[in-house]
Amino acid sequence: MAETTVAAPTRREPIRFSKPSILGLGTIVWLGSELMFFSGLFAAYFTIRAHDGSPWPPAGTHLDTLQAGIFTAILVMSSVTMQKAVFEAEHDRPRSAMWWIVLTFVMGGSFIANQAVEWSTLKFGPQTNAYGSLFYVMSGVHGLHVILGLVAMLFLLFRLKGIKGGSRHLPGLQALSYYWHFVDIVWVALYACLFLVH
Amino acid sequence: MSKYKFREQRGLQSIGGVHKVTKSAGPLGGVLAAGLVLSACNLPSFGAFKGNTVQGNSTFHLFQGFFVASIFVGGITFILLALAIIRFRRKGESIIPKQIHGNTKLEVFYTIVPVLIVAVLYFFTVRVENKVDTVARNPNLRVDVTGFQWGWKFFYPKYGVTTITKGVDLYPTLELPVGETATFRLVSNDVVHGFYMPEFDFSRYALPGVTNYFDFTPQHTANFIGRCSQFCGLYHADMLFYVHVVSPSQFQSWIHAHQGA
Amino acid sequence: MTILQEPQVATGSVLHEQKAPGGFYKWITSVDHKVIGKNYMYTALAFMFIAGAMALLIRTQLFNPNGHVVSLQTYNELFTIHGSMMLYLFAGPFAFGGFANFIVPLQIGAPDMAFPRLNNLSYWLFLLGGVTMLFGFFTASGAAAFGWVAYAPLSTAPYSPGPGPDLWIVSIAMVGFSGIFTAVNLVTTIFYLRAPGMTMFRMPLFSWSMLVTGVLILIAFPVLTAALVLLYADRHFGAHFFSVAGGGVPVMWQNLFWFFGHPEVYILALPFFGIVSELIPVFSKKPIFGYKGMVFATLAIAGLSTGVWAHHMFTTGTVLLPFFSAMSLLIAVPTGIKVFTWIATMWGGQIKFNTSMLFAVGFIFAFVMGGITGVMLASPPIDFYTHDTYFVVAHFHQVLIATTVFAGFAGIYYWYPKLTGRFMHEGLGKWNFWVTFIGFWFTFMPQYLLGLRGMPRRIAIYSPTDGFTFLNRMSTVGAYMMGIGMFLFLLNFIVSWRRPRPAGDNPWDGFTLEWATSSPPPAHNFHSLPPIRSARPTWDMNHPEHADAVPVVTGGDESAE
Ligand code: HEA
Ligand code: HEA
Ligand code: CUA
Ligand SMILES: [Cu+2]
Repeated sequence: MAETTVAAPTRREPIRFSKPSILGLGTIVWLGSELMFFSGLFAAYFTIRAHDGSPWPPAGTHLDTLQAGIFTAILVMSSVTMQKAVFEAEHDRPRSAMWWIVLTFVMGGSFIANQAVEWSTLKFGPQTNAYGSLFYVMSGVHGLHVILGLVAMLFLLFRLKGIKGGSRHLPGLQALSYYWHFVDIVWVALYACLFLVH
Repeated sequence: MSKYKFREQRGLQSIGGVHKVTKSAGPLGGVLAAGLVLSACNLPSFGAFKGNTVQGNSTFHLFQGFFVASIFVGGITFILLALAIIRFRRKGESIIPKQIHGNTKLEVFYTIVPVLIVAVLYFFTVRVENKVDTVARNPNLRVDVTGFQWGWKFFYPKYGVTTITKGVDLYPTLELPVGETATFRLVSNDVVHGFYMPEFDFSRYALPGVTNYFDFTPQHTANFIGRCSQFCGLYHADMLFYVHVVSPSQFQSWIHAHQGA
Repeated sequence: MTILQEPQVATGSVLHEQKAPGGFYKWITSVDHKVIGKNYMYTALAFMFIAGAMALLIRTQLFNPNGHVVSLQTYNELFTIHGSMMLYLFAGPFAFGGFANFIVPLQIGAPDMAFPRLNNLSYWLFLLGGVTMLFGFFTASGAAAFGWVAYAPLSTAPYSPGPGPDLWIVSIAMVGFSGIFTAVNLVTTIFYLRAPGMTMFRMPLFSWSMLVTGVLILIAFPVLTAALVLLYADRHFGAHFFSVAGGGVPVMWQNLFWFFGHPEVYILALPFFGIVSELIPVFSKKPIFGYKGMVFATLAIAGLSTGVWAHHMFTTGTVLLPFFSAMSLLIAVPTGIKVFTWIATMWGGQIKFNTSMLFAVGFIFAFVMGGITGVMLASPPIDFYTHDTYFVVAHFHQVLIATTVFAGFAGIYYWYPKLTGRFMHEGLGKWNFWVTFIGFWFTFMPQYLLGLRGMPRRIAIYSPTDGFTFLNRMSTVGAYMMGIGMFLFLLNFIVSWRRPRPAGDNPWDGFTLEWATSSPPPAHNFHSLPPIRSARPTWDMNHPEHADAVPVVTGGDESAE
């Protein structure tokens, strides 16, 4: 079976076209449930928006759409760097993969830092109105996901460090990359709903 | 409006339309529809209230129809099951029976038949549902009902009369004239309540943020207890009210007595 | 994480060598699916007895009008925790954590679950969640008291203050995560670790049921988690999701909850359908009648069940009645296929009526009854009449007890020899069945009538003039009878453990792979596997003259679905 290729660390051929590892498959299944979780939140968003006759977001809601947009772009770019890390690892270049992960980590970290700044400067809170509740809960829950991804990256970095033949950790890296892409895509939808829709 | 008129013309013979339907609904539907028609005439009530309104009465007949269909479906299933376990009980030494893996024709049969039964049930459901849900444009009477923890407020806007729960065991009265169509407007101040009229075969939620409308056309004079059906906190069990269906003249004098108060 | 490489089953190879420290420590740290499965079963059954004891308290209170056994507040806490505990902590974990964990890897010829340590985590989340829920009773303001459905705004801070409701929320979230993790684990196991030759359409129906249940869990539970997050935000961060004043929408809770809640009831039912689909053929000595039809019926039930949630909300006046009514009525069709398939399987067979089979047949009777009243409820006008009355209580207890208790016990009597290598006591078993079964009808048939006569659910007191007294008393007597029946089960479980009656490896002449290994199975499940050429490999091996499959050479690649 295709899986045996993973177990053969000396292979130089890229092995990215192989059937996902068992960890990868488990992650994909798990992401299915994550998708449903965010669908629940989006359902709440659209329900409340549909019931809200007044302008949306409510008058007096000031958002820095541009700044958030820049960090959205950074987060999306971090998906690219993450994928690059996977490619490097698939070609059995763990050192290089490590640096790409570090870059991804920095980009993701800056996104979270921006979110922290944003939360502390915004003039409304979750108790202001239903929009505020949606804003904080949705972006907050997403932020938690980003932080979880960052923690996972740290773990992977420690594991990759100093190991020759890092493809032993390839399944873990691939799984993390699925997760990271998912978190990024969700943010794009969240950004559109929370910042752009009027 | 026209829908409502139509219903009024047919008056109390709420099941009258069923006969027309039987012709088009197919043979199997015919059997079931026959059951439904029969139910309109002389079937027992199966423990249910007869639904003391034009609307509730058609619900009652629908219930009877469903009940007959259930006896039919459940009966056949139970008989088959009983036959299987009686006839094919292992007796004495175990032999290996013929290994049958299925029979496509039979499988299709027991898929199609339930589909047909369900289709018929659905047809009558939608008919009765439309009837029960119709709201008159020009009702004889309007009643605004508000549910709150833990009581009810009934307000008759045309007469400026209000009755309201005044404390534990001090239930309000909902007075209704027989034969007249009343439109109800239902809201809640706090949590979800269930405005439940057992003998009208009807309930509807009182929801915060939602206004619900529905009609009652009571058929006979009656006294009974109305209730809150949706759990709403500590005294949910005690959220009762009296319902009096009285003659129009009694209703008028009740109104007058309360206008003074 | 233990990364498994290949399904190396046939060789009985070692995946995670289990050092056996012995005793309690081994018990709680084990990552063996069989140990975890048993832990799940025992824990879930314990919760069932606790919740059952609450049910007896409920019934005792209702024995007399204006009962004074418990206070109003306590009553409200009791039915909330009774319902929550039965559904979240007994029914689901019993089937999906217990049976699935123990049986599925054996049935598909896998050495263990895909992620053994995650499996262990699931169990601990479940147990902790359960304890958290019970803790509510020990807080000053008492446990949650808003029903297992926790309708907002009643469940928000102004109407349900205090830590009890928070504990409930946290507990459900933990149990939800536990279920999701198990589902991830099981679905991955089934996709990845099937033995060579075990194609999807040779997989036993029990495993199929568990696969579909797993998918339903992945669809439904996360939505509940989302709803709980919103509720928690309302309670603690002053959010306005469910308060009209702040622009929130209270009915939104009901939509989110029932989007989870309805699939949940099939999450509870499907595994037990799977159990019955296993043991009816075995005790009739015939293959299941129409295997593929059963698979598609299972899939159809799962598919439909995601589109019927608003039949719990007919009386809100805010949902599309015709659509949800049609979908709900349609579910009768695939469910009917199952019932008729079971009957057709018995037809022409050699039915052996031991306790297990008795429970299975009892299940069908009870389930058809409850299912048919479900069809009545699916008609909106009838639901307007019966919604939130004891008619509904009777409906769901009949289907729930049919599945989780009757089919569940059938499963225990069936697999107990596999779990322990011993039989359960047959004589006691029959007493267990008859007392429980008769008590069951006594308890719930009067409740239908009570519902039709206007008794709402979740009321602690009624008036002597309501005319509810006699029927309630009958129901209470029935409940006590059920209690005795349940006690007999407990007794049987203990007696069978203290006085072993050795069963051998394959006492029922079973069909599926779990009967091809020893009882109890070795740490890595199989020393060798029979060839898998049909849905009944063990039968094929033991009855070559009646085998389903002509022995042809099959490539391992067939195992890809
Ligand atoms: C194991 C759990 C389980 C199962 C399997 C079912 C099965 C069904 N349920 Fe039930 N239900 C619950 C658990 C379950 N339910 C619970 C817990 C509640 C209450 C929640 C609460 O409010 O607390 C509830 C409430 C509930 C309601 C809301 C009632 C109300 O609150 O007012 C409705 C309404 O449509 C409903 C319908 C159905 C239907 C149509 C089925 C169908 O799937 C049944 C199908 C089965 C059959 C029909 C029998 C076998 C079939 C045949 C023999 C074939 C031929 C039959 C025909 C053609 C009719 N259920
Ligand atoms: C699988 C689910 C399940 C099961 C098995 C049961 C089992 C039982 N249920 Fe329950 N029930 C629910 C799920 C379930 N219930 C739900 C979801 C609700 C709705 C909650 C809500 O409204 O929110 C509900 C509500 C409910 C009510 C309605 C309360 C109300 O609305 O006011 C009633 C009333 O009669 C009731 C009774 C019973 C009885 C008598 C049993 C019997 O079958 C129980 C039999 C078991 C035993 C009797 C245990 C035996 C005990 C011993 C032998 C003693 C040992 C003692 C210790 C170990 C301490 N249940
Ligand atoms: Cu109001 Cu219950
Ligand atoms: Cu449902």
